Amino acid sequence: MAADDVSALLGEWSRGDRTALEQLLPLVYAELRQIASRQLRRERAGHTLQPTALVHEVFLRLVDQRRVDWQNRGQFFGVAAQVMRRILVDHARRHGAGKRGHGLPRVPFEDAHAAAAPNDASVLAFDLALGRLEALDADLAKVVELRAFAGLTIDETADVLAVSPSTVQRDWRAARAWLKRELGIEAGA
Amino acid sequence: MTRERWERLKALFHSALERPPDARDAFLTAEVGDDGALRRDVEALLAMDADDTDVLAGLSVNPGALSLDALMSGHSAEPAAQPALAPGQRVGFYEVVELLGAGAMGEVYRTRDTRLDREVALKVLPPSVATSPDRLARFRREAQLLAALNHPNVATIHGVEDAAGHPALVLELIEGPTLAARTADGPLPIGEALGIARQLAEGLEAAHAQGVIHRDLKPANIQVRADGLVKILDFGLARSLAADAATEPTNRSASGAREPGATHDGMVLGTARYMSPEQARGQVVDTRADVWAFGCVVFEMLSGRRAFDGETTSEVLTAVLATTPDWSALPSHLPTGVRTLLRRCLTKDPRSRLQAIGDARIELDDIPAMDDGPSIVTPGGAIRRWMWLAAAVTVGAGLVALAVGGVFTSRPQPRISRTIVPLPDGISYYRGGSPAYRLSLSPDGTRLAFAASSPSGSTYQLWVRPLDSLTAVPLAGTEMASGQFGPAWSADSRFLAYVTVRDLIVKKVEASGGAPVTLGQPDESRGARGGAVAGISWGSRDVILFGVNGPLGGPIRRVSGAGGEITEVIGPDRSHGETELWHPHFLPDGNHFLFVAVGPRDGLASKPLGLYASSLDGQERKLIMPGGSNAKYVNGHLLFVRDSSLMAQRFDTNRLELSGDAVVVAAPVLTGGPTGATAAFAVSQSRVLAYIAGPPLGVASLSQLTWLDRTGEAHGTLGDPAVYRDVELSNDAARLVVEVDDAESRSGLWVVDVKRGLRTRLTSANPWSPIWTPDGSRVFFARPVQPGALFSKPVDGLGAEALTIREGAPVAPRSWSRDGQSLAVEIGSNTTSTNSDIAVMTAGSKPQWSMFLQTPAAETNPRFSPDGRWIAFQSADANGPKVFVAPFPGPGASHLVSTAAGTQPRWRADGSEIFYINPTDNTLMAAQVNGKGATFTVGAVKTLFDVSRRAGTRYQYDVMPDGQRFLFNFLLRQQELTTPITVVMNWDADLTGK
Repeated sequence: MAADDVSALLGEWSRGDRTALEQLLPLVYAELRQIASRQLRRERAGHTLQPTALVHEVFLRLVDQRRVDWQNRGQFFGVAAQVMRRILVDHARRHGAGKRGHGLPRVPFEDAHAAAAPNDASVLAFDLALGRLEALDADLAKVVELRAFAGLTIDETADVLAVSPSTVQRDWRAARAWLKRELGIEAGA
Repeated sequence: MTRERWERLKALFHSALERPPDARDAFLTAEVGDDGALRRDVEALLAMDADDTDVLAGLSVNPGALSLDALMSGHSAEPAAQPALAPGQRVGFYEVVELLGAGAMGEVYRTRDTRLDREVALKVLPPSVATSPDRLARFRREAQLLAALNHPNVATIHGVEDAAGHPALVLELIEGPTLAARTADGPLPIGEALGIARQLAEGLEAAHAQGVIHRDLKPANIQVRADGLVKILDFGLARSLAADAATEPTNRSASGAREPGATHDGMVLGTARYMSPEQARGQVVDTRADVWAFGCVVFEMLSGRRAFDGETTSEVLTAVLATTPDWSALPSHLPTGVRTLLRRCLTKDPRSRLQAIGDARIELDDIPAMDDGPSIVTPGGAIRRWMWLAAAVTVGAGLVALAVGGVFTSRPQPRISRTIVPLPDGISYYRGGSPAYRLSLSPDGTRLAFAASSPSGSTYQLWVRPLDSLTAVPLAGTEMASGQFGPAWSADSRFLAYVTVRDLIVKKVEASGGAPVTLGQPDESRGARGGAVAGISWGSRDVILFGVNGPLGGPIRRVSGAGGEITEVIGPDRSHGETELWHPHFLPDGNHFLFVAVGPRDGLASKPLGLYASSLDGQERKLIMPGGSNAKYVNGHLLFVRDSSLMAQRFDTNRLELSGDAVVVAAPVLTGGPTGATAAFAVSQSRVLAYIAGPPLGVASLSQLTWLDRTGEAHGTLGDPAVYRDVELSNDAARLVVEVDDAESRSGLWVVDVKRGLRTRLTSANPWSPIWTPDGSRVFFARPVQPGALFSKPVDGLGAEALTIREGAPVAPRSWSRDGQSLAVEIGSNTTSTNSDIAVMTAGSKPQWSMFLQTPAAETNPRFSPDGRWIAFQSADANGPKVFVAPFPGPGASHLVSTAAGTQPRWRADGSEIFYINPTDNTLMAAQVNGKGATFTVGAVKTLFDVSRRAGTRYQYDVMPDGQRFLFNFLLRQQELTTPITVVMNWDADLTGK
């Protein structure tokens, strides 16, 4: 798979060829999974899976930077966020929680200090909650997906979705509040 | 929550945020009026918003709240502390004797009631409850309710105390092992297990009558006293310990049993193994969740196994949501009534489940007491049941076979006839990027239904085409029909059943038109992304079966053709790697059906693990063949697809067995879907077969073999679109050998009859670089995985592959001299210092090898001139590839043929021209050459036409002997795929007797 292919597919996609997406997904998936599985192997040695870093790594590897414009870049992250989400959920399902209990540190989407894998149950619960949000409000869910799984900033998310940053900010706030409630997080916790 | 309500809630949330915090209260009062629930929702969102400290971490997790494993393993997410109480310490009237145990629910002490001089248990709740006033209040209310519960099978709550600052429950102290300790040693004797089950049912019934739901019934919460009395512990505590005071329900519904769902949405309680599917999803929980848990516990007592299990919490939850228990683990002599009762308790859809635990008690009362005697587990029970089933089927299917046989013999031998049904103008199999390619023939054989894009192209739609008519008619209202796997005909050929994408609503519509009617929807798909239907079948008993590919995939589900509840028939065998069951297809008895088990997805692909047969009771399954496509049974034959060929093989519906040989009925048949093996075909009892011809779908670079003249004008195509590489015509141009990828992207060599376009597989296992022998009888090729080996195979399909070994480097045959004496071969390089060279093998009993060209440049694609005196080849150095000609056998100088870059040289049959591709300009070139004399001369070189659509890796074209026609492997855009449907009448005429 060459950077050429992905760049060309992104181009075709933005020109309205919807089959390009069909072709793009497996490419991105394969690459992400490869990198992710490498990371997950390392994770056992005390490293952390950092989904957002993965997505950016894949972007650099797959996309010929000279040939994509901002719109393409946005589309790529739109795809990559979906794929990343699926990989994490699959991993959580498959891998299960392997490591039981005992006060898991806060981990998931932070690139922080955490020394354990993302809490699988959290990933699954988050995915389920996001699924419910999708049913309720697809726009908000898209914002969350891009922020959480592709690690995009408010401005980047706005670019990808072709809306204003202030709209993203508003959506993000509402989505975040809704999700936290959905996930049973207590105010003040 | 409805979307409308959410929109309103969101608007209020944003408006409130724009106001200073102290003005929000008044704002909300003004806005929401007396809609208290809405107000609470807004306030909850505002509270969550205000709570934010760390954006993403805050968003995603409170590990304590979400760590299921912490809950499951009995450890609180909070740090373990010293026991709250020490022996001798007094709490109210209670004096601590010893610590009995500790878990997520707190610590349990043996204490002595100093007033009544009896021993009681004191359960001290964890600090999370103690520090939350709301939870504490709720806990006290629950405890009071429970204290009012007075039943011998429910552990009594004596009261609530404050123990050193921690709330504590005063409980009946029960001496005896928990049921968990009993079941850990294997199954209980049936009589004892049923006795415990009866008591459990009675205790639960009493609690439910008081509006109390246990929510966490499991063996560890059940104690069996030495005298046999069963006590259920920890009633309703799960809920009391749940978080989320903000949305606490303020009132109970009239029945008292059901509660508002907001409390538990997203919050998973209880122990995963005994958790009902609705609990696992965080949905509303009512008494039926206890019915489920009861079923799990009884199953475990009887089988010694957990009904739903896994190594991790998420695996367990997946099992709960998607699998059925291993019924064969139950003892074979278990009364049928108990078996049925367990099935009804363990029905995933709570609406289809046993509704009241009291009914379980009544059922159990009806079962005669079992004398356990010596406890014997008989694993052979499963086999006996299957034999009984098979016997029953034999009778029914025998009648069908008789009837069909009668029809057959009374008719003169009909002839096979084929017709083509084109798609309506502007309609294609594609909507967006994904193809629809499922066909269905009405059982009476008069009408063909298929899914294709709607006229607007925005969605799929069902189309019906009467075979005696010229037009297909779209069925209004079927716009959301799932494209890849619908529809199914009713037995009377009147109705079509289909399933909508995403929300999985099963509908039926009259094939002659009319409004679609909803038959049902899996409860779990409501408001969720359910996936796509993966196969649907409507049997003679008016039952519709369907499989699902996607988040809600797993079991085969059923619904009545008259509508109603959707229930599961059979689930995947996860212990054997199955994740989803697809392609249900009823056999004529309307009870047995075929299905395909598929494994986990890999990328976008799933692997088919086997074609099985089962029956509506879902009891047993039988493997018909490994792998598996969407097979269909008709008139004594099973039709299935293997490597793009539609095969027919005798199938005995009594024994559920294949016999005889599989015979190709049509090829290639379009295949696709996540397994790559879902084929576009349909059959009817009236001996009509319909299919879409074509290459496997879902591959990135489909190409089409296209005829062009010297001006580049296209003159038709050869064969169907596929992934082609390496085009090679035989010397007489009657046949073509070409490398083609099958549905699983495995490459094979195929021989194409140029006149008729028919394609047959020559060999597989990754062959490449095929060339013809001069007489067209054999094809030589290589396999990259076996360096140094040359293979050849006769094209009549008979005879094995022959093998010649040249030690050392990889070889690729490229050209035979016309006299059949010499084979020009590319020798790959094993090192980076030399590039590929050209060798010649002289035929004979012992082949002789000699190097023909060995230079630092890379020489490839050697081509003998028709007279065998020259070899054209391409040679690439740092400046790119060029085409040369050198005398054979040499020695002699090489002559440059290409004016600039050149690759893939080919000779015109009379030797007057060499064609090659200019890879820089993407053009086909023609060089006039003369090699008749001792020297070789190159004349005019002309550009013929643009070949930028060329596809494949090595030879992307060939030329007819006259040099006037070219066969190019050109890339195809998938949107061009609008292949007509081929309809075959009397398709099995040639198979009679086979």
